[in-house]
Amino acid sequence: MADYVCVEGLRKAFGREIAVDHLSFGVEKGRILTLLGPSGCGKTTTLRCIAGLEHPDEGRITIDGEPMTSAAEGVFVPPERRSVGVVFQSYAVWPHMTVFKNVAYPLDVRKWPRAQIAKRVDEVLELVGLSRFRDQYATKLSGGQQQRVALARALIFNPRVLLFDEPLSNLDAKLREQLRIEIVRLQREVGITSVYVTHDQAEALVISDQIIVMNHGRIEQQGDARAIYARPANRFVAEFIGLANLLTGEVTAAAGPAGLVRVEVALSPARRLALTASMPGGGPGMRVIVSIRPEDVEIGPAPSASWDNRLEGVVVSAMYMGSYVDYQVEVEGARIRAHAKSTTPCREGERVVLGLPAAACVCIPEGASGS
Amino acid sequence: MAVRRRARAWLGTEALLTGGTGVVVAALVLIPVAMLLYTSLRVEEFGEAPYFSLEKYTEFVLSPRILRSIGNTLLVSAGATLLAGTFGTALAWTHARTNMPGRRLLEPVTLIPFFLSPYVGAIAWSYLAAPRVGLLNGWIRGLLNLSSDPLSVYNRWGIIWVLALFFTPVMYLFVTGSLRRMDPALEESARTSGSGVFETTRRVTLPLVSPAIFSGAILVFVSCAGEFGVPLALGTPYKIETMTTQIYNLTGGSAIDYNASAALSTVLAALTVTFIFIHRRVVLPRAYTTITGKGYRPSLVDLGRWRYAALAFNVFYLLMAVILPLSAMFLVSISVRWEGRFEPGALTLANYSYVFTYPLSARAVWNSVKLAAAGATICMVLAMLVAYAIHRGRGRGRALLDFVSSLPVGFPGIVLAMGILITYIRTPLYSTLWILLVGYITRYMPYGQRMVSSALLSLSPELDQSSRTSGASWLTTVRRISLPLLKPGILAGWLLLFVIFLREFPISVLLYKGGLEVLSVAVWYFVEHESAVRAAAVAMVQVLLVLVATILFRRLAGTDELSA
Repeated sequence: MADYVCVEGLRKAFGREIAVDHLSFGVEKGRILTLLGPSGCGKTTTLRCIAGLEHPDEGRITIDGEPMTSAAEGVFVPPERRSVGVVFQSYAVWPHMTVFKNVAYPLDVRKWPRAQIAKRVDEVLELVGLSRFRDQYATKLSGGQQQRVALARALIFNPRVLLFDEPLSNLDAKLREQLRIEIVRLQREVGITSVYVTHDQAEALVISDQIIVMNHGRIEQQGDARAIYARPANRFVAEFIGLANLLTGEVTAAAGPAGLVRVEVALSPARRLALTASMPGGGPGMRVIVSIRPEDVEIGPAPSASWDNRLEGVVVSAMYMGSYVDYQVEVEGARIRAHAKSTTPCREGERVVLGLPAAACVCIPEGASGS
Repeated sequence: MAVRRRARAWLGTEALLTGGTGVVVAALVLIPVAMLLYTSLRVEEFGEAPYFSLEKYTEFVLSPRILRSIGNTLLVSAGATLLAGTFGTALAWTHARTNMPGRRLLEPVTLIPFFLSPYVGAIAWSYLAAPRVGLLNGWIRGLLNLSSDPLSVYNRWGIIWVLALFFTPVMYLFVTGSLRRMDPALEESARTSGSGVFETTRRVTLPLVSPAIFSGAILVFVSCAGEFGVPLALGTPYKIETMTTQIYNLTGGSAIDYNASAALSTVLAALTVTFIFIHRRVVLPRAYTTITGKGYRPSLVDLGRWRYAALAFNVFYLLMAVILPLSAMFLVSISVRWEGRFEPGALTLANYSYVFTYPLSARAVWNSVKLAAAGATICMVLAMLVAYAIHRGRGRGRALLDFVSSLPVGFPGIVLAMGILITYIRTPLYSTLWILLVGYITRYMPYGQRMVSSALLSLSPELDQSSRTSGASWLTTVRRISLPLLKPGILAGWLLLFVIFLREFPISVLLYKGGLEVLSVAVWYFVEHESAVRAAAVAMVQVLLVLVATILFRRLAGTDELSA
């Protein structure tokens, strides 16, 4: 497949710290790929390598088939000749220039004629909704507006690739959500191939065509948002993306069609329990981690006939979260978390029954890690 | 081969410029230091073949006369540090944390001694408290009906007093800097935990600023040990010698011995560099990080009636360090003659017109201005490039360059001047203004570099990087983004160096030849060979030039820049 941006065997160490460890992936033309992971996982370093701001120790990066960085061939194209727009976390809006000057800068250094620059800047400012701030000093603007200036500046020269380095992390929650939607709209409208770095899983799920979950400089899982959320490939991904109840156990038998299996899980060292869970291709003897999202767990004073797996327990805490209640239920030494609609509340100390739908009990082979 | 190609692809202008500057700066600093050490290990007697030996250390440095001067250096430095430490901390605390009246007005004037020449300060104090001709002596004698003079500055106490007055602002800058950067929440949580204002000050505030006090004390001690002008003015008339005056004595006259001078210089440098090293490795890493982003004002300590006592103390310091010495010097400079009494009937401007017409002093004014302007400009260009290489570059030698380029800070002016003299004496630079320029740049470039570095560190590297990814080359980025953003820091650094060079004494006095006099050298020459009134007039010219440049500096830079 011909990826527009292609990273092969990328490695970058800072002293003894290995930030990126032989990483390979591609981004298709016009798509937006997110590198998602905790801080220090190497996602920003990877992005900076693509931009030409970091010198990788090994590996090759191509854009549109053209090598940008290739340690083996001795190729290193400096950042200014890569045609890559970058939106930084700190906005990096120049305080000594007006909004207009900031946004015009990339065209100015490309020696565009003045009239054309003015026309194009106005166009782009319109696009990001900043037209009325055109002649103000950029640092007088709010954080959200500054980040739009940065975005306009990155877009204006029609770069081949747009790189986002945690662009929304410095903004407050409301603004973050609003700008998130806007970035998706702009990216679709302009159709620029983009790489987006974030530690915020909600942001990644909304924005991306493809997500790469990274840890310790390696890929833990790659796929679209739905696949990663519904079928985490390993313990790290299950814990990092959303919340998950994790139970370790062993497959005892295949249980009929649709990839269901019987699993015996340990609630506590003494107490084992048999569950029906989902594991296409799973067979007896496999050691697994069963992951169940709290919102998939059913809770009630009495069991319902339709529930696949039933567990009895005592509510330890019930926290009202507005649209749902966050329950911690003690089940024979294990704590299970459940998110349920706040219409049928259970009280703390109450005996309840939990239902775990077999399809939502996802088995992850134990010891699975990066692909 | 791949490595080389990669290197070339990446290097270009940036690496060439910053790397080249790094090499030049390292050579400027390291060659004189090496030459100094080399010379100190040799014996070169007239008419004998030179040989390597430790005898300048074992015999000369350990001789009773030199040991006495080492003792004097340690004594006056310790005394001055103790006194300046007390003054500086008290002034800083009253300005930054109490409701003392007039705080805002007092702050800028308290810093004036920082910019003035301690050597000129010592001369001014001799007009106040010299036996027979000191103004204060006259007043006190008249007031108390004494037959002998109560005060004399020509002894160790005089040296300690003048050093303390002039290095108090260093201490003040360190402590106010630390107090202003401290998160007020630290003190507020002590208050809400139930301790009163004074207890909070004693148990939270002062312990938190103690690393700054210690830092300031080390710097003051090192500066005092390396100070040359003050002991020259106040010690040598009565044969009280310190290490710096001995180093100087050995470079000329009948006692000339470069090897001995180099050995004593090396001992002094070893002392000061050790202190600076301890400061960097032991004190700085232990400094508490108390900085936060929130800009709440700390709550002030209500001193009650004591706030007038605090004000009185502030005024006392200003009287001693600024008002009395400068007034005395001004009065002397407009008098027809000076015999310890101000005679309102015999005033004149003739001393000033003499300064501007007598060839030596007229030349000195012009030389000083020329050297200060050229030196400050070259220093700031080098400082920019070195700071860039250290904080934005990716070369391997960054830590080393940082170390080497800041090394001269640990070297007293007279010591580095000695190394420079030995290094360049046989080159065509000697007996031209260039050798003074090289001396100034070598010694003071680090000050400029620290100004640029602190400005650079407060700018996100992403500001540069976004220019690069926008399509601008390194040079364009420097020209259109970095330079405009660093402009205030660069200008402030330029002015600070301009002031320092206008008043520079030890390097100038060691490296000058007839025709190359600068202001401080002219002051010294006039003190030795002309009348007191004319000496006062040259000194006043220097003070006025320095004050004008200082006012410009204050307009451009905050006080934080100085302690950076």
